[in-house]
Amino acid sequence: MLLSVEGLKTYCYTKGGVVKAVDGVTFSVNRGEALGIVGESGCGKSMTCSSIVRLVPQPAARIVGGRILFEGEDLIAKDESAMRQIRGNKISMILQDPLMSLNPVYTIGNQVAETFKVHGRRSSRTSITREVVDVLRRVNIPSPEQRLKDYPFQFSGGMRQRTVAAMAIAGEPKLLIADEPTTSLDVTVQDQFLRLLKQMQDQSGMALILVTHDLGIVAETCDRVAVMYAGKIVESGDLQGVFASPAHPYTEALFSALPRLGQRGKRLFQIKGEPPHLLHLPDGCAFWPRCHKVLDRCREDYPPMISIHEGRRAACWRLKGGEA
Amino acid sequence: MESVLKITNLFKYFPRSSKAGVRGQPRVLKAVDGITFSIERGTSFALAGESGSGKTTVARLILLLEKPTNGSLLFEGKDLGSLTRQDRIWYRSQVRAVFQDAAGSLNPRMRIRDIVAEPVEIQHAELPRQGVNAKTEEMLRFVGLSPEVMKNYPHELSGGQKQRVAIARAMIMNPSVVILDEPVSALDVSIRAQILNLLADIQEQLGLTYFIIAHDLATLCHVSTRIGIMYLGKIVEMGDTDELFREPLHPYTRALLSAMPQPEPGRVKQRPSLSGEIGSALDLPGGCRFHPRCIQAEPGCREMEPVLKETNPVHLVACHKVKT
Repeated sequence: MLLSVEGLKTYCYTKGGVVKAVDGVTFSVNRGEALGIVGESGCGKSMTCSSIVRLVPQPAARIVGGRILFEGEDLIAKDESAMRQIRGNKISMILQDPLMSLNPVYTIGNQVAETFKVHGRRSSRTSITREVVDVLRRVNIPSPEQRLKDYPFQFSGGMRQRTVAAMAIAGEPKLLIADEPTTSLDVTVQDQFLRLLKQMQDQSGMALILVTHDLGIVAETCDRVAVMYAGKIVESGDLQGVFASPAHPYTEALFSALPRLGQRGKRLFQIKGEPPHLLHLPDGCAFWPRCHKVLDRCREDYPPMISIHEGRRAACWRLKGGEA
Repeated sequence: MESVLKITNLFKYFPRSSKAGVRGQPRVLKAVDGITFSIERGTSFALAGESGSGKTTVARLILLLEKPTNGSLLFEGKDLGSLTRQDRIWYRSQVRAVFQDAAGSLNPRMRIRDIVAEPVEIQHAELPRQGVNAKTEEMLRFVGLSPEVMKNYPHELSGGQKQRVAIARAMIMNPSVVILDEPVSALDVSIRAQILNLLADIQEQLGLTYFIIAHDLATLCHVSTRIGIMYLGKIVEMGDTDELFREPLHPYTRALLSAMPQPEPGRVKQRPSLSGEIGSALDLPGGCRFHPRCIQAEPGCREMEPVLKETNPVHLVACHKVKT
């Protein structure tokens, strides 16, 4: 086991009250494995990721409970300088908008070189340049030697995101967290980027946490999947299992609400209402007001995470004793 | 069937900078480079393609937000190039639009009532306030909102609600054509299904004609009757949605379809897909504009530009490799 998150709680303290953005999230990632975290906006998936690298927007947000075990060590207990050694070296992150991750006034070569300079390995300028060219070539930037002197605005969207990926893998991390990495890209470019992620994983054996709202991307990239709703994981398990027979009504509804090819004019299944505001969560299960299979019990108590079978868990009162 | 909108040989060039290019000619961005299509009453015509393919420019031309460089637009047989001021006002009540970013298209300083009622107040200044209010209320109910939101400001509504307001504003003038520019791409999966169903219901009830722009082919497959695939300002393939998705002929359409992530784990993807990214409309390649990315390109594709030819009466494709 590479990463094990246990009962993680990250709360935001706002004027309106305490927002439980991440409320007791438990999951794990094995070496070389790809985990997809799926959910709608505001469900806490990004906050979960920034908690792992301890980059939550303080002081408003704080990690208030749980453990994040990475290679057996609790990251929450580490001090800032120890965390700096881990970020970029052992755990890297790719964010949604590559333009926000790149500094517009420095050249691409300069910015990629910075990651080599910061992360140890003291070497001469020429050898750093060689490494930069190398890593840019690994992410398929055409003629990297010539593009070193370019600025981010001279790169296309796909090339920018691949540059960010190059910076992320420069330190040869054990775990790469990619938070909606392809949302700003076109489908064909997205396809290229997801292939690149897969290829980087195959080559280096790094683990991947891919955050997305697109179930199609999960199906093509991940081995396991966790579905989040209102700050909690409602279902997790292996890809085939979850996609073939979703156990939680929310997961099931997400699949039926998806427009698919070859179903022209068919009415889509509709999840009623909207995702709840985290400040005004209903009593009991957070999903019950929208659920098409609601029971009386759901309105009162939050259902426990029930193990359906090996590695497959869901939190729903309908799943007593393991049968779906 | 009667065509509501008929677009013939439409061109839109944007001159870029007064400075002459390398060969002494001024540089020109060919956003729309000669496209022809017509939309029949009560149907949905879709334009698909990557960003930069010119889809939105076509919409802006139809909405009279841009003047075409050349070509003609006919609305119910009337030439849009020769409308009088009075005609234009009438036209704008007949052809309405819903944009991708509802938050950006609703004035943050106006109340929902004023946003939805504004078109009526402009076009029918003689109506008493109460009459306008009643109509606004009716419209909000029609799109599934409670009339209580009338006193709210846009920021107080969720993304899905804002999109419903934008739809109400478009529908209140009882238009005959509605232009939907990425109507659901900014929304979460569960809300997306609600809006797509709503749009389908409205179309059925009012017999509307839709012109839809989107990059998500699954969404388009769901809502359109006929679809055109655009690449760098030209339609490369056009046909009935069912047929086009069942039997895509152009290599670009095929690449788009195979690049689309689908929520089916273990699906074997047809490879190889596209290399590179969409080119620049400022600097079009000679011959077929898709040839630099095409896996089937032959020397001939570099020299001769293919024209849109019928393979059967409802399916057109522009590719040298497709036998007609």
